[in-house]
Amino acid sequence: MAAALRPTPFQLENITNADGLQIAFAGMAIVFAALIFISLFIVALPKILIVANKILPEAEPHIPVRSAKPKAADTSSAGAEIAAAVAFAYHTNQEGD
Amino acid sequence: MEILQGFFASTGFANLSVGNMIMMVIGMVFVGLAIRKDYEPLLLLPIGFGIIVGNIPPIEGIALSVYDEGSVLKYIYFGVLKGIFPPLIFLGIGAMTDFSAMLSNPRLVLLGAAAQMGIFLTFIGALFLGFPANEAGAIGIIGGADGPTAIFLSAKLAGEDLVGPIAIAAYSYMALVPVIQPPIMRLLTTREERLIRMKPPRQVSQREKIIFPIAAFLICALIAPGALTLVGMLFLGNLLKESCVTERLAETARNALIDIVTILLGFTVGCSTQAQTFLKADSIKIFVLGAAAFAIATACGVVAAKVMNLFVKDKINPLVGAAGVSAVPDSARVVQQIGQAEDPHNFLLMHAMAPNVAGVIGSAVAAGVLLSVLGN
Repeated sequence: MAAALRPTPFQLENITNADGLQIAFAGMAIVFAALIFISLFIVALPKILIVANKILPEAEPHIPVRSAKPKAADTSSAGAEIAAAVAFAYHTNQEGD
Repeated sequence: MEILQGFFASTGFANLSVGNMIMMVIGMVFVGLAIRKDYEPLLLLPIGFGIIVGNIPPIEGIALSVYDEGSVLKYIYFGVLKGIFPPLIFLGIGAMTDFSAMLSNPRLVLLGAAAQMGIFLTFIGALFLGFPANEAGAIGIIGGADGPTAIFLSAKLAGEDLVGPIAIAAYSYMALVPVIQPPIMRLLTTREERLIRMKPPRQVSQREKIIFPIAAFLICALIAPGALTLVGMLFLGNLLKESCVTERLAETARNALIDIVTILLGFTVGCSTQAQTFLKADSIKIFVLGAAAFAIATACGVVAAKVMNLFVKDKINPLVGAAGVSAVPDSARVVQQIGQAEDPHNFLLMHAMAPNVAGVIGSAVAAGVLLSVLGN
């Protein structure tokens, strides 16, 4: 049933019957409009920010708060450093022998 | 003996058609291209394996394939057919996209719009070849070189049978960006044009990066409400990234979430390519139109850059226009390679990323327009 309704291939009328050209031109116009507006907004953005900075000054960069207590990872990294120092001393000692 | 004969009749060997075998070979080619040539492996490998799986002949009485009611694959394929997966992929794309290149050089945004001409010219071509308007719209979007957008629109506009061919065509051509684009780029540019060096992009502040996704979403969604789902997810993902306060969410969106959805989408799209539904004259037409769409989109981007050069003081390297097709970041990489082949010290990648990401927005808006006009 659906196949019977399909337009005959290679007919220019297929394009006109489906308003193909109008849809294509309107579609392109809309895509260009959207991206031109985005482009214009980007151009205006630095100026908008100058005004915005006067009203709402830029906040300090977000820095995660560190707890005063050293983390477990810190302890393990200190342990690793000690182990490395012991290994180095042992290695030097062996070479001396 | 009868039991053995009965068992053989129920095996895949008994029901395997030549079409199934051809599709399995195609699936293996996809896997081979992914592994040997590194062509979009994240997509081609699951799709290729899915093609092999999908072409094991169905056994009567057992729900196995994506087309069988109640099968597991059908439930996963639901995410493709209902257009659920593509917006989730857009969320991930947004979370990994840096719009700095675009924000530092807004005139390059227009190249992303010019490359979308391929969509609408292919739409006209598909109408001419006898496709109904809704299917023609879904086929045209292949020119946007954006797999998720192509799947989203074909799921919404075209019938279940066309989702597979359109998706396979879109992803195949995306994977073949390094093969399709360079000849067109060389054909349409002179050596002098390929040697043009562009001004380095300016530094973009974090505040600009945070404001941009909100403003761009409002512009796109108000102009083309049909694009709301895709651009909404794209810019949400980008805001998660740029806000610097939702790093965990951004990390999930750009890694775990997009990976999971890509696997499910790629695999089930591959599974949907059963020879009985895939090997048709319409599929061949879709592949021919898809190639044309891709070539036209590339050409339009390059020509648009050349036209812009007639009016601007700081010249644009026309190769950059080819990145207007939204195959991110492959087409930008191709621009870099072609540019460096002429001048090894010319770095075009950052410049090419501007029309590249603009192309993603442009193809989503084009999909929204086609959905609004043809979806009723």
